[in-house]
Amino acid sequence: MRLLLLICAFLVAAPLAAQDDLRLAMSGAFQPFSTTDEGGNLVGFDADIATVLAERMGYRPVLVQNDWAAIQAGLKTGKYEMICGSMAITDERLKTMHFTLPYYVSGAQVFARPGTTSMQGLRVGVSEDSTYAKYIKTHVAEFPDCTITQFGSEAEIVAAVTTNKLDAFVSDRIVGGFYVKKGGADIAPYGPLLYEEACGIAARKDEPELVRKANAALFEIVQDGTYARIYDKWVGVQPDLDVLLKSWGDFQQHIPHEEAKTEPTEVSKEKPGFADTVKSMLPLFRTGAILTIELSLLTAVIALLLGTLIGIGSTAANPLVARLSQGYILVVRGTPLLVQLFIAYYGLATVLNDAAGSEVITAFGAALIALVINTGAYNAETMRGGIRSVDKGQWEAAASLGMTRMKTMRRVVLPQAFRNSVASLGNNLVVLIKDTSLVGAITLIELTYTARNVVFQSGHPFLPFVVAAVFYLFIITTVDFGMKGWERRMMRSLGGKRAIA
Amino acid sequence: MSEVLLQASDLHKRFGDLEVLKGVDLKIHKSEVVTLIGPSGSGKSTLLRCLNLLEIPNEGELVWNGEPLPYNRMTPAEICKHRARTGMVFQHFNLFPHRRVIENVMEGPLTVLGEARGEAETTAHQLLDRVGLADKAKAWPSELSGGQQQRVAIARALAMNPNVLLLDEVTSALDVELIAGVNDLLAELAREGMTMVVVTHDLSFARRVSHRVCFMDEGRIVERGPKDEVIENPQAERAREFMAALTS
Ligand SMILES: Nc1ncnc2c1ncn2[C@@H]1O[C@H](COP(=O)(O)OP(=O)(O)O)[C@@H](O)[C@H]1O
Ligand SMILES: [Mg+2]
Repeated sequence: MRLLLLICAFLVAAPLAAQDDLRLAMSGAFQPFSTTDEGGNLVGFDADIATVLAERMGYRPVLVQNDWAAIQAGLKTGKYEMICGSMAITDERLKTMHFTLPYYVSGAQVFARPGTTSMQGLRVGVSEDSTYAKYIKTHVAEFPDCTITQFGSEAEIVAAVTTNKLDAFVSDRIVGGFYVKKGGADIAPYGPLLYEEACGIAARKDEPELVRKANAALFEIVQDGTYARIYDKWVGVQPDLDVLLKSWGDFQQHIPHEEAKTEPTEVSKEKPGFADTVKSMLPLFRTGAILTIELSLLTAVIALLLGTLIGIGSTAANPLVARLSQGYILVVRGTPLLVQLFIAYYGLATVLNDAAGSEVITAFGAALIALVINTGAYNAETMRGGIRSVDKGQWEAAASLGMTRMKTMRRVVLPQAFRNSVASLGNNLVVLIKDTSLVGAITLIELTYTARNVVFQSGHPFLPFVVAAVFYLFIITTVDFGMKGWERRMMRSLGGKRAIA
Repeated sequence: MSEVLLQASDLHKRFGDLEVLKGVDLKIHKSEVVTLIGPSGSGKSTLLRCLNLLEIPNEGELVWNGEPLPYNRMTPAEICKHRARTGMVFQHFNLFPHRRVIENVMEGPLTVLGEARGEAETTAHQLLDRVGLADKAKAWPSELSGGQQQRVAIARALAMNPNVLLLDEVTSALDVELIAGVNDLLAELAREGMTMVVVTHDLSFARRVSHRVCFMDEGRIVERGPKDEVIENPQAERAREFMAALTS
């Protein structure tokens, strides 16, 4: 009777459930597990497993690509129901999420240049917020005097290896091997596995039912051979099912699953208060804020000089100088800053460092170059307008006194051009400060990146971003205030009452 | 008559296809005041600007103090040097708005003549006193009336100690009640022997200060002579019409 009921329930529920979407997230930057095809669709081992599992669970699978650093925040805020993105099961993650049984087992591997005999003093890359990064932090002794740099993805790490910014990296043995082969980097596995790790599919604490269904589905596809087929398709070998089954045993021993399910509110109870959370985050933000301010100020000063020079150049009588200056403005304003950052870091810095045989241009240097070139172009355009708006009569008056073009520019036109442009230059500065949030893309941990890291560490999905926003607001308001003061002083010194056109 | 300071012969100036000066001959003697009268667009400003090389002529000859001015072969520095010795005052004053009145007057001596600051300041104070604005030395140009601004502009030109003053409709932009102050100052300069080329529509002022008057029309000087002849009894038809329109 009960069986009959169940079957009925299943028959009724199945068509209904089939209309329900199950959204599963992955980074799309972790070949061969998750990546995107030419059409931008998510493909790979994770993508296939996610699709098959969702279907077996009675849902319509919807694959979501999300940045790895923000992938847990997305789960918490309900952007998707599960993460099927090669996430290793760790005690820490188990505190904030449910995991299914492991759906594959791999391990952490050091990759280094062939012939490497010691880790001493190497430049090591690792994917940020990964278990490998954690491992390095807690096993410093195994990486003596190494410079550790965090990257957004394995693809970027291999790019850094190929452009000689790294000597070694730590990653998943399968993923790392795949990228090395693909990227043609001159690098190979070094030493034994650091540890084994099992990846599971994560869900929110308040969704234990999803996990149960996923486990059932996982069991099903392992039994009917679907799992082995998918594994073979992407990894290139048959899976060792004994290892997988053993990991299931370990996992179930390790995790008192039911207990976690019964008290979902417990989690929020033991959370520290709002004020305490913010307070504990502040020291981390200090470092990020200092980098943001340093980078902004240095760029602001140099870009003002560059912008003025190019602005003058763009109005020059010499057609070659004018064309070159205008071309510079056109090219730089016509390309995104992020692209410029990548070119400066992976291109320019690499070429120069290789030529010099040492690291003459650091990531900070590359960021500074890109930001100066970018902001310089905007300042140049502003100054060009400011110079143009100075009355022709000013040039004539100066010329009739016998002043040269240069002298006229310096003593008559530029001061007035600055007066005309000061508001607009201030605006460029504010944009610059916000734009520094992009340098995280080339491994510099500034304010925004700090916030992303804190999201990962604290498990709080958005509070760190609010803290970062407050920092930005403070910096920008201060700068704005200073600029307004300067503007007022400039205007006051002009007698104020009636400005001459 | 005294020596010729500046002479233009068969001067031509074109802007693209537009020929603005179509062969102008003009002699300016030392301490002489020559007035240029003529309809708008006839090329008066262009002629003035060619005389101090603010515009480079296309053809013709310029002679300064008996020495030819080979304007096509002069370096920028030589051109600047010529401009420095020919003062110019504009219709719209063109004071430097970001500099105080005294600094406007000091700008040329400081940056072009390389005078010491103290020396330049003393001269500037004397000149401001001279144009009746001693108390405005520390003011900003924007705080002055148009007439006061134009007198500062004259002081700025005089500070370069020029050999000739070129004045382009310097009272045209002024309110009527402010014109007299500027005109009185110029008349006094003329009396003291300043060489001047004056473009103006103010016939009474022309009568008062000029020695000679030239009437320009369509890029040519069509009538010239002593002021009484040209102003009171012009021969050229175009000049007659123009004078009649101005005096009516
Ligand atoms: N820089 C220039 N470019 C082109 N045309 C000009 C320029 N300066 C003057 N012109 C033209 O030359 C003609 C004479 O101008 P201008 O000398 O200012 O006459 P005026 O001062 O007698 O009114 C006008 O038609 C004017 O438009
Ligand atoms: Mg004119």
